[in-house]
Amino acid sequence: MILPVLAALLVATGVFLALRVAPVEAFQGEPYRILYIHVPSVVASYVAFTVTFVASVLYLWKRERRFDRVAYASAEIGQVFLTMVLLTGPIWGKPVWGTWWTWDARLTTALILWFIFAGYLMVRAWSGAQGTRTAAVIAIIGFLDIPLIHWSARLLRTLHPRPAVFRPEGPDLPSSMLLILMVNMAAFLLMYLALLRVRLGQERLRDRLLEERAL
Amino acid sequence: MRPLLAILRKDLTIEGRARELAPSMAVLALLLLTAGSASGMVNAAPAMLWITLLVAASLGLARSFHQELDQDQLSALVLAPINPVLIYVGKGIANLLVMIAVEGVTLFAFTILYNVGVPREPGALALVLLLGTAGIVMLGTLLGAMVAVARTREVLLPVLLLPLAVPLLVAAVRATEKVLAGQGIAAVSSEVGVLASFALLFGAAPVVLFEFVVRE
Amino acid sequence: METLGSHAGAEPAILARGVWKSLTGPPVLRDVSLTVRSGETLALLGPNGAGKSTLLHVLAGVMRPSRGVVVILGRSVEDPAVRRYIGFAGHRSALYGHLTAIENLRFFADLYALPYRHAELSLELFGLGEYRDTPVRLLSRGIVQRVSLARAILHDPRVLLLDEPFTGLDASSATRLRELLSSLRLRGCSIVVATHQWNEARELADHAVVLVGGRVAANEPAAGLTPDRLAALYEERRPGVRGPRPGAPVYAESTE
Repeated sequence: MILPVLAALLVATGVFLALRVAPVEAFQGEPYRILYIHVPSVVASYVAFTVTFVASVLYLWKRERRFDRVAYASAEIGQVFLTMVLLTGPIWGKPVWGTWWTWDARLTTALILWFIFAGYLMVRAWSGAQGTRTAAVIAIIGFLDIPLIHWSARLLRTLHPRPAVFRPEGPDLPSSMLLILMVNMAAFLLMYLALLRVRLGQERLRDRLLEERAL
Repeated sequence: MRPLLAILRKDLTIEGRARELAPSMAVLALLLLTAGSASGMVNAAPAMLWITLLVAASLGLARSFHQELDQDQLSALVLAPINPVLIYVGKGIANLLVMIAVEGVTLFAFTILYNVGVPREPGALALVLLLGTAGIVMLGTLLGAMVAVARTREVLLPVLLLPLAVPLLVAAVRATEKVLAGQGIAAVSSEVGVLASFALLFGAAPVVLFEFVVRE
Repeated sequence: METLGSHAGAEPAILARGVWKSLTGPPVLRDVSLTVRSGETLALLGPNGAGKSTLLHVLAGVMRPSRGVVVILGRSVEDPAVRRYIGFAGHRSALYGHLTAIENLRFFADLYALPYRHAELSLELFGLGEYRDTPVRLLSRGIVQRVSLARAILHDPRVLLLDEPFTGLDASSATRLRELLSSLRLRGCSIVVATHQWNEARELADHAVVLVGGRVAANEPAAGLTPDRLAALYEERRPGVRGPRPGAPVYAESTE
């Protein structure tokens, strides 16, 4: 019970801070505020995908159903966050750079990742018993393919703002913005965990139901 | 070695007698190229070529594993005292040979329909074609096995293949563009790097993962 | 556990303990345990959908149990070294339709590192000489069944798992198969035969296991089997099925 409440509170706080408290950005103006949703969504989706990857490896190795449940739940939630990324990206881009879509490396990778996730979810939905193992392999090779996708996407043009936060030299945002961004980041990660908990609970229940029905 | 050759021989013999894969893939490839050329895609010739190859491969490779399932042949293969990866390698080589045959026809049509001249450095083009094709076949064979064993809808093979093959597509198209425009190997070094890494990843991954794919 | 070489009756040739197997959804095999000694033949009986085919696949090591262990000739069935000693003929032939009978057998001879002579011998054993060079897809079901059996015993297995092997066989082929099974038994081969027919079971087997709804309903000497006993077993252990439930898989004998 604590987790969802905490997550909800933090998200509300984060949104308030982002809209009312955060200073206006000199160059981009008000639209930049979508950064506070866009970036945390990216982080949350990548965390989700990593969890799916690790859980898939464990599932193939140990064959325990609980790993498969985690992989599936995390993939679903990650896909939701990733959809947010793909929606907020263009919404940010249009007022700032004048175009809805750019084939820059980060956005392209996110888009391809979305398709890989979609494939994962479709395999699970449309297969027989072996679907879980097949999906696990997809998650694994998809995860390993991401660096390559990113590399090849960089061979295309880059219009994305130079990374302001995730740079080797350290973040480049003024501390006030950085702080609010961190708050939202934490909020989104908590939201991910809360949703994961709920989804996992559903899957466990479903498994038990199927077992008991057949007894 | 003997089991590998046996599997390869088996797959090639069956393809030779059934003649399902190569003709349908070739016809599909020709159709795609024709449609592209007719609708004005001549400026995007390299892209057209690689998309055609990817689509033809994804539809052909979906069928290639079905012969292991219709009479539960896969169980007998898994039961045999061989490394399961050999099933993948044998099938992969057979698919590669089929793909090369299809590619020959495709390239021929490509040069005609898209008015393509001989590149200054044909070796560079050959390298790009080789690496690209190998990558497609390696990934496609793995996915073909997965889709067949999971009894999932065949349409999932292209759905899974295309996003994963994006690095290959991007790199191959750009490299082909450059080579056809007269540039040499040095100019396409990063693209070749991507292609080689891709082939490495999808050559190595099945060695570990294939057993999990075929054993229930 | 280096018992692969022993023919001693002491160590069971096949051992399954606490085997559970789920495919999609509810378990198809529930807590199945059985033992087969060297030279013993076990009959596996049960109604359709009881899980006989799945159990055979699990015993062969082709499928991994969700829970439990299978030990063949003293080693875990997961150990690649035992595979050489296991022969398996399922519902489906495991043959390539576009290859001829001899090509199929030679293919498997290649996989098992055997001289091609074994393929010829196996063909002859089942009287398949005249079908040698015919593509399997052109052969009738009964002949295909014989080629499949030829494939299963090609490498002289120590453990043989057969799923309804008499299906489609004419009288003389059936006799030939019975003779083959007898001679295999004499050589210490352990056999598990899944069958519908109680009289077949009683005739061939020393021991019988009856599988109902994925569970072992009975495990006793084959001599004691009667149709009434079987019918009673099938009735009493049925898992309350009232027709297919929405979303639940309809139990199929074949193992996908």
